Amino acid sequence: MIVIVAAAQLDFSIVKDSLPDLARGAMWTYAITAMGIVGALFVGVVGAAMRTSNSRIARTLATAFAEFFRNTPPLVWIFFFFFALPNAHITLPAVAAGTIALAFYQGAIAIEILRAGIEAVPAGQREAASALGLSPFQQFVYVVAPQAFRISLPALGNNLIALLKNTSLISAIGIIEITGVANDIIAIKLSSAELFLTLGAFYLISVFILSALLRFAEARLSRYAV
Amino acid sequence: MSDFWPALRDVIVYGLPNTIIMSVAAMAIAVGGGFVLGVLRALRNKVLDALVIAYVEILRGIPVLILMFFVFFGLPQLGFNAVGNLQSAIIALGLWGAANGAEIVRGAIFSIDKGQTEAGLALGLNWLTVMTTIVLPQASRRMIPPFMSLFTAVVETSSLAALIPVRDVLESVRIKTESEPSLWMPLLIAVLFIYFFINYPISLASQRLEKRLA
Repeated sequence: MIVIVAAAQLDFSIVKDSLPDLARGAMWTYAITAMGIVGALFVGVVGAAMRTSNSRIARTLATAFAEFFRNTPPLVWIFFFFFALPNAHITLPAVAAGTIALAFYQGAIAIEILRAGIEAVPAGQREAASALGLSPFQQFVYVVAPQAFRISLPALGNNLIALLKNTSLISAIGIIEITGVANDIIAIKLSSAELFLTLGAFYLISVFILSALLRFAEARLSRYAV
Repeated sequence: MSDFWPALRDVIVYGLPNTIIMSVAAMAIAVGGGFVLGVLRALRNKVLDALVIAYVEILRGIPVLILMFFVFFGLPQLGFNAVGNLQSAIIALGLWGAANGAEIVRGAIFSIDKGQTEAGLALGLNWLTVMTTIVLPQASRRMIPPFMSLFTAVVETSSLAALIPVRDVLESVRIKTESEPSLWMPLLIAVLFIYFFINYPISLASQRLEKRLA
């Protein structure tokens, strides 16, 4: 009963009127997600390589980076890159600050996921590659990394989905992506429930599409898996 | 820079209690709600399964920020009584936490050998007694590490409440920097360490415990 009364008060014409703005925001959300995924994977791969290397300094650095970022909120990092760095005379545009913050945070989680993947590859694989005369670098690139990536992909995928959802936090420092665009419309029209319901649906559908893509990638990668 | 220590004192005195209250209250909802939803899944009723799965997928598929905005700004517009900033943040964090808690409880219950339930039922115990005295006590131990990492996620996510705004540690920093922008860097570094010192011991303990239980 309450739900029916509540639903009767919704007026979605406000969403219809703002569709061009929301579509532009959605494009930015996808663009930031794509850039964030590239950044997070880069941080994750470099960090995991350091984390499993023979150098003690590299291991310590990568571990400290991963543990610190994983245990601190992404929103604080977004504020840090946007509001705090200007104190050190480094001024970044909102999109750059937000994307770097998310790439570092989600990348730190990716380091741990990829490290676990590398360690899950049986030692015999590396030994066999070594016996065939492959250099340590070749062993990693041709034998260990492809298998580690396949093992890591399900957990890595959840991390990338989290990144998509976390792009909404960038609205706190600018209005360019979809959540920020919606907040801007709400500030003018003073009507919010319809927009937040629309945003919820937008993110749900986007998460669904991204996870479908990830499942497709998983299936492709495990074609030749034993 | 001489303003730093008094400013940090205010962040800790006024901000930290709200961060802790939100995290603990939301976690209580997450554990309670998670148990109810997780046990409902164990009933293996198709209708209940569909309802719980829909709840879990929706709450985990939308950003917590959207949920928090909807609870705080959207619900009063739909005729619900307006609730305060802190309560709205706790409700949103709790609903989201309960969705994650449901998955933790379900996973732990289904990880217990089916023979345990069958043996209990064969002894003539009813389903609820089997669940509460045989399955859940064993499953609860396996839930501890994932619930600990959920708590660290709740602590981190409570920072979003600064945007509606609740005066948590992050919002306290923003208030302080309105008159003194040069405090952004030192205060945010301090806030990062506050979160780190709460979360790191818990996530470390969670990893250790997980290895021991495995």
